[in-house]
Amino acid sequence: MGVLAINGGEPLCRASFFKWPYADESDAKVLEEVAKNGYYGSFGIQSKTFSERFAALNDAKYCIPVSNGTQSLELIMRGLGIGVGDEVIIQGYTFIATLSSIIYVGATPVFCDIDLDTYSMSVESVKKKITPRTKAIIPVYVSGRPADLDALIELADEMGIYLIGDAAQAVGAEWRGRGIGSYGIVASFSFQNTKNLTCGEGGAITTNSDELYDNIMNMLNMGKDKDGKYSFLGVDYNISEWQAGILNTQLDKFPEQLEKRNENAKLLDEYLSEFDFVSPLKEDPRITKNAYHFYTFRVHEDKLMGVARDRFLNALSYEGVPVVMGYTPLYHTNVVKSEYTKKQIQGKIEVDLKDYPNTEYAYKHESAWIYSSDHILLSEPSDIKLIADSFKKVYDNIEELL
Amino acid sequence: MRDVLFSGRWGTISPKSVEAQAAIADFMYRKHGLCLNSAYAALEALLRSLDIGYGDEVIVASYSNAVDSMTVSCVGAKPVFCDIDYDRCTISVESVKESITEKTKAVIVDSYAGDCGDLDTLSKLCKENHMYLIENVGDELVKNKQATATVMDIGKKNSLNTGLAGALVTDIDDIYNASYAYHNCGRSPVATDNLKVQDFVGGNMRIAEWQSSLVVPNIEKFEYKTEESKRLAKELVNESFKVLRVFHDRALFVYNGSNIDEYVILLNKKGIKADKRFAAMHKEPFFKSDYFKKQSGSEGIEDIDLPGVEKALSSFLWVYFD
Ligand SMILES: Cc1ncc(COP(=O)(O)O)c(C=O)c1O
Repeated sequence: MGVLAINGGEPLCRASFFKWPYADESDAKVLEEVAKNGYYGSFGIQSKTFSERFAALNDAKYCIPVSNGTQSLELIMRGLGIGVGDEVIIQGYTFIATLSSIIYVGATPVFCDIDLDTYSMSVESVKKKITPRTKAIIPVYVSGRPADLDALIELADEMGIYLIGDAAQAVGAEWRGRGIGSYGIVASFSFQNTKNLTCGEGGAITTNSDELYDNIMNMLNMGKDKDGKYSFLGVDYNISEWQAGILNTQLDKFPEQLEKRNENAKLLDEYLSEFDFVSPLKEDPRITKNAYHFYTFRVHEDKLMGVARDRFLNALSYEGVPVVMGYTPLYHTNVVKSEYTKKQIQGKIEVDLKDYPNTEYAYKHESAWIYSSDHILLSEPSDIKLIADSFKKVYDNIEELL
Repeated sequence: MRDVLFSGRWGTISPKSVEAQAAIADFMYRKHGLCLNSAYAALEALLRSLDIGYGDEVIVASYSNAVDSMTVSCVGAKPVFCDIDYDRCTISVESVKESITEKTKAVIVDSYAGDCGDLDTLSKLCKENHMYLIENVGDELVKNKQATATVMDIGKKNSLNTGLAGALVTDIDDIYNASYAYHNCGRSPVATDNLKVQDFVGGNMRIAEWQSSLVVPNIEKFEYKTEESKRLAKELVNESFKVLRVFHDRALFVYNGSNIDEYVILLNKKGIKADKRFAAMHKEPFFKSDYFKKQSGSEGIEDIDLPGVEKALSSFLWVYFD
């Protein structure tokens, strides 16, 4: 028997992490209000109120609440006229929705690499992937951290392509003091059960574009234009009053939670900076608010005396630290090769691993998240300290893992 | 709903949605049920699960729920608009026959005041031509057994009153499994690892627990109001306004006066909820648009002569009693 929990020792991280989602009587009250009001469907009063509040949070002109953060991406691309024959650039290091939404509209996904010090879309890699067919890039703000929007927006403008922000994990994030939902032509959000602002299932689209707003609103009205003619593709990806009502009461609690997430993340940054075998992502003063949906860090295998990242993370898990290795790059999934994909995009998705060295390295050796269905970053600072102490414990006893 | 709220499970396939699935299957006398975030999503998931997409054709009546031709277009297939049988006000079997090509993958039939048409003949025709028979009963919740799968709207007040949700039912395991995967990020119904992506190109069409929690209690309360509606419809009958059929909360009338649009306004003014319900979808601008052409790889929908639909638009009037 060893000292480490993985070898039968006592787990160190006996923390009680914050249970998510969090509800109180105000949430119960809004459900009662909706019930009393008697209308539960789309385009109701709760939805209207939320759209105004969420647009304001994002410094955006418009917000359209929708069914979720996958169908929102589909709506956005359709609203921009993107479809069969067009190419859309994404990173492989993301959730399946970023990929499947492109296939669902019939466009061809093109994979690019990420930068390892930010885990965001690499501008240099994007440049190499742009062709005359490219219509858009979708940077994903993984774990709530904005990508390099200065460089990406400049590139997109120069090439005449759209920047669609996949802000599914980035509610509340800011870039240079302005809401994340106001960057690019449009941004997409998710309010799924694990997200920092949630109603179980839900999503939103924010934009400053009058034209895109009109297009999407018409689509959501089953394709009807102002004269009642079916002029657009009709799509029912709307949100109910139950969901919108909960979003309103959850939004009341959101600012305080966001502050706490940032305070705890800062603590973790400080703790982890003391070690040389892991490191937090690079600081960027232009990120004036990170949404911290979860906490991403880098594992340096070369400092672990030959212990692999996965073994190290496993040992941490045994100590009670909720760690996972993060995304399997989507170009490794069967979705890319499926017959259905080929039929829908009328072609095939090109995958060349040489073009994503950082994503591959992250996947195989480096990427790690502090992540669970509990919201770790809303826990008490003493629990955050236990996480850091567990890192130290595993490292101090690393020979047990050899 | 309070239970849902404090359970911390508000979405992403949680206990209430599992309960709702089973209840819907029972309610419709089918083996499998699946609840989704809208009726549109239910039909979309179903079409995707049947591998219907780019280059395929699906036959729908032009005088039909816009959801039918829109979902077909959404998945990249081309809706082929056929006529209705005017006398019965259902899809016309003859016109369906004439619309079949090598590319036809399915026929979608709607419920018109409880009548989905000659389903026995249609299902035989579909089998002979290797096409799926898809039934969209909308908010009428009529129960038949012939279709490959049935889609319904369970959001509306007259339906299961969840606010916004749809469902599909089928007896076929593969269709259920594939629809499930398409609606839940590609995961199979028995997947345990949510981060593991399966073989299907999955989207997200999941129902939230708020809506799911209403399915079982509202099925228990649900009753067809056909008898009451028949009585109310009778009061509206006159020389030029006759009842064709009454089902649940609505009546389908035949108007043979001179101006149907004025008659709708007149009824509405009297506080009677009435409309023409459908349009001639084959004439709608979307199906001639560049986006439609690009997405379906077709030249767009041509102007064709559908006499039953023309007649329907100048004489069929729907009245709702709620
Ligand atoms: C990056 C990213 N994009 C899109 C989505 C899809 O959001 P939803 O689950 O609301 O469909 C998610 C959700 O996990 C996500 O993380």
